[in-house]
Amino acid sequence: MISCRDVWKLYGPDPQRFLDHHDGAPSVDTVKEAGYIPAVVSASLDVMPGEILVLMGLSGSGKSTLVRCLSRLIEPTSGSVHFAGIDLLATSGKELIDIRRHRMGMVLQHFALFPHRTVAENIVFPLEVQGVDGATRRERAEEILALVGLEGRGGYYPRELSGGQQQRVGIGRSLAVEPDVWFLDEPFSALDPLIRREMQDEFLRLQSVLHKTIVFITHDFSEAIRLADRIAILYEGEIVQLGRAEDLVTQPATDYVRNFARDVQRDRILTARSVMGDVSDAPEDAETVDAGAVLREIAPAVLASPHPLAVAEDGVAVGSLDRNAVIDAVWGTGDPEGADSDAG
Amino acid sequence: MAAPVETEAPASIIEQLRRTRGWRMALLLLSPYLVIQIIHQAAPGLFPDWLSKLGDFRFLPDWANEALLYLKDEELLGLFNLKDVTRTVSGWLEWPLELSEQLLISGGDSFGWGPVPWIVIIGLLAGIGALLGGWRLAALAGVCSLYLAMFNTFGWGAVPWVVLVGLFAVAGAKLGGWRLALLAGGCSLYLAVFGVWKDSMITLSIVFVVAPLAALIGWASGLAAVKAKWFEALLVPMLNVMQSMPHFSYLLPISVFIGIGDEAGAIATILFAVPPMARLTILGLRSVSPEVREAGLMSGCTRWQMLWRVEMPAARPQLLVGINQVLMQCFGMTVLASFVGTRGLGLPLLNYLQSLRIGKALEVGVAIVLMAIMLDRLGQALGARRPEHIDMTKSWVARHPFWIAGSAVVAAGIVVARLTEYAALLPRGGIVSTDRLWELRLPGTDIVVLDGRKGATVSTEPFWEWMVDWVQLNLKSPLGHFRDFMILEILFPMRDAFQALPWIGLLVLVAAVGWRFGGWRLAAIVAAFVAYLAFSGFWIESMETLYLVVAALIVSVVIGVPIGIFASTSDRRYASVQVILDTFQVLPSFIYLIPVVMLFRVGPVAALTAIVIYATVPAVRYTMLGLRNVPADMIEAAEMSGCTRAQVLRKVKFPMAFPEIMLGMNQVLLFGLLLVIISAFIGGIDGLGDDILLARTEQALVGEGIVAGFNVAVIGLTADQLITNYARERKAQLGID
Repeated sequence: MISCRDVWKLYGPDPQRFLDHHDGAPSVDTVKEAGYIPAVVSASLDVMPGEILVLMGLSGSGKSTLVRCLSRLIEPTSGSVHFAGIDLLATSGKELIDIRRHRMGMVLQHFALFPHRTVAENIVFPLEVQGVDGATRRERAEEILALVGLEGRGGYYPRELSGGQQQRVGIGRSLAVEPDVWFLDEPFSALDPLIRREMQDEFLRLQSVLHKTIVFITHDFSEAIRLADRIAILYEGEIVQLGRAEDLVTQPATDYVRNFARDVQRDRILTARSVMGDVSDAPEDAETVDAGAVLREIAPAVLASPHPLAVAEDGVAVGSLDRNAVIDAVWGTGDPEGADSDAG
Repeated sequence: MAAPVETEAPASIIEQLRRTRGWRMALLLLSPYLVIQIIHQAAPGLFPDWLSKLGDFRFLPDWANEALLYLKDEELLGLFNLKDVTRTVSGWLEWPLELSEQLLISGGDSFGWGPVPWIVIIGLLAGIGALLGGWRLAALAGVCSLYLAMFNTFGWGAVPWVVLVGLFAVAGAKLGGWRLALLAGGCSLYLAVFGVWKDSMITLSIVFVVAPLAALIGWASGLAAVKAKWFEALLVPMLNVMQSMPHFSYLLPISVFIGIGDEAGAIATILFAVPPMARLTILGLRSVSPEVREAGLMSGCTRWQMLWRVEMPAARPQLLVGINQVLMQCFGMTVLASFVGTRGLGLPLLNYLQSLRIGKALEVGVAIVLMAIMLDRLGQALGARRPEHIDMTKSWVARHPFWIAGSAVVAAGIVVARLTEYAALLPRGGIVSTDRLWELRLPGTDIVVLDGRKGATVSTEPFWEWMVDWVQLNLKSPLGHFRDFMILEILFPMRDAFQALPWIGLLVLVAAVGWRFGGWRLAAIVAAFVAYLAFSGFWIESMETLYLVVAALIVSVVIGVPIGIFASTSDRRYASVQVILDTFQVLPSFIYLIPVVMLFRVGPVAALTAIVIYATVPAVRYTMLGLRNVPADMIEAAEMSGCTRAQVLRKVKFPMAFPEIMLGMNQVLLFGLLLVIISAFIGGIDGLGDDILLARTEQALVGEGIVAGFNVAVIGLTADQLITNYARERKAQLGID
């Protein structure tokens, strides 16, 4: 759906020339020495239709800049961005406006609601700038209000709503045009933890209805794990690892990733597939668990069984799982590489 | 390799010097000045005269005089006469000024639609109204234009005063509840009843024309500055100079090119009121959060839609503050424009002050004060309003109480005005009370009811006269002693000291301070400013002005800082002092002369007092602000360390607030400079104000007046540069923004 290759964004006096001078691939140190700020460094990724891709990183890691390069709110210094087959960086201003009007939606961290417009007017603002007539807009506003759970609040002004409600309006506005791609820039970071949880559930509920292609930004690893199909971890502008939550936990590419993965509830993430042992270890008549199941679901059965269980992928046995493997994976280091580097 | 080392080494020593602190720094900064002074005093023979005074250097004022006369009389580049151009521009203003006045006071007189550009401008204003306020404001603009057209065509009478008073009250109720309704209704009722209706409506009619135009121009230039870097680079320095030029510097050249009268005042007022609007437009558009902009972009806004549907509405609070400032600047300047013959409340005040009829002057003064307060509070309430959802379950009537009340007031007012002449004409007798038939002294008061042939009017003059008499009778001798003491023992010695200062001495001193707070760049800038003063031909006059302002600064600080400290100690005190300051701030500066003239008549003590009253306001405000902004946890930390209240103040709060207080000093100086020029009007002091005022009567000297006005701006800018740079550095050190 979206595919970007080798996207760079540098801030400084003349970033274009600097990049050209270094054949488009300077090292991060070279960049810093030359006095440039590397916001995005050679980022390449593909967002698949219907998936939730989470960009995860601490503040200043370039995740916001990267998502703005994907939507061309920020002009990348170099690289290419394709949106549904269209070369986004080559589009004219008019084409870009057209794409944004029909195919993109964005939710912003601090809601960015227009204070002078009512909730309903905020929600249908993207339709208004397209020139959609008033009756259609009112109808659409009602639909969206119902979708985001704000029935009856259409006539209120943003400042009359709570933070969570305001972000519902922001979500509503970004969905008003039924976009193909939905960008969410730390949508829940400004909310209280309890509300955040509630909004995450709401978000998953909406996605189960809407099936959008989503790029979601967060600095909260547990939020990323909860929502993501795939996670891209950014550090100083670079994508250091891109993969499923389980991959990040079992095979962290760097210590930086390992640090994030350290405190997660592993039993909710690890699947039987990633911790199973050799298929021959399980007795012939052993019970079978699904390879894709997370340990939390299958742990009771494994722990209760005196002998290893069989792990099956599409009905075919591919491995075995015994108590020690589960206990090790969840409570032990479960990560020989990690143990090595800790020792070293 | 040796050369760079040699050039770098002294630089680092200088940098080290720049970082010394306390008395060593003070000595370092003072030493070049002291050296010059010592040579000047001890060995005058070694000191060339031109380094000390350039009194005969008259190049600039003479050149300015001639340039102005040339512009006035000759054809520019042989193409056109500038004066004809300005006269044409003022001709455009004639029509709306007349219409507005007829509407409010003198009654319709059909005269067509006026020059075409006006239709465009009115349309533009209505359009902007619609954009800012939605269909309601657009509808209001439509109804008003329709009324104007009818009024114009059929020669209807002026709006009856009862309608205007009622509408002010309704507007107050709508914007700020019943308190504001009472305030607005009461103030306008005072104007109506106490015989100043006609003059106040003339002033208002001018404000109604110039304020929208000034707001429009200021808004457009602010917008252009935000959208085009080069325009901002051009505009902002211009705004800096314009805002530190005294009022008269606007009035004088305009009186040359346009003549005396309402149009001259209107144009000067527009020019004067543009800068705050431009600044607030820039500020407003800049402060639109980038996220809101992004939300607009992602919604697919075009550039045009971005500006009109996202940026402008989001900047609306600042724009409304700007409009309020424009309104108040326009009101103050219109009053002051009586110096160039603009009618309205200022003219009688000027006449009464000149003929020392203090009682009458006080009466008009009170009217000006009330009108200023009313306009300001209405404008502020408008700016502070935030949208609220409408309960659609209520009936239409319940949802639109103010529109209905407004319509009712208009309808009832018109009916009453038909039934009784007084409702339409009562205040028309106004100032013209010479044809009164009888007087009625209300028992137990000093209020006199006068009845003229055309209407009745009530005057408070006897009350004020009684007060003036009382002051004269009881305070004359102590005040006189005080005045003489001040003049002989303090002010004149101080003046002589300032004037004895060689200009090169002041230059090195100012440059040294500039170097300390802003490096060589700032040193060069402020040195250039002082050099300009020296070579302007008005060095002595500049020093005369400076000494009075510095004297006023000292008194203002001595009075203002303790008040500020006192007021900052409790929330209630803070709030009430804030209200008083706000009220003082909106009064036209002219007003401050009235009580001063009453107490001291003329001379430097009178001027000093006026400046002190006017300039103490920022001293109090900034002290309060600085102290209130000290973080609460810092105070708690000090208290938990066992500080007494006095120690908390001395060791924590005051050092933290000091940069802010210095910014207050800066404001005191700027305020003082503006008022010292106006005080020249009451006479008895020399200095730049005198030269500016002289130009009022002598057209050949207007160029000189402008140079003198520019000197005032340069003095202000010098102080401004030094103090803001200091405050910025110090605040950065303290970690406050």
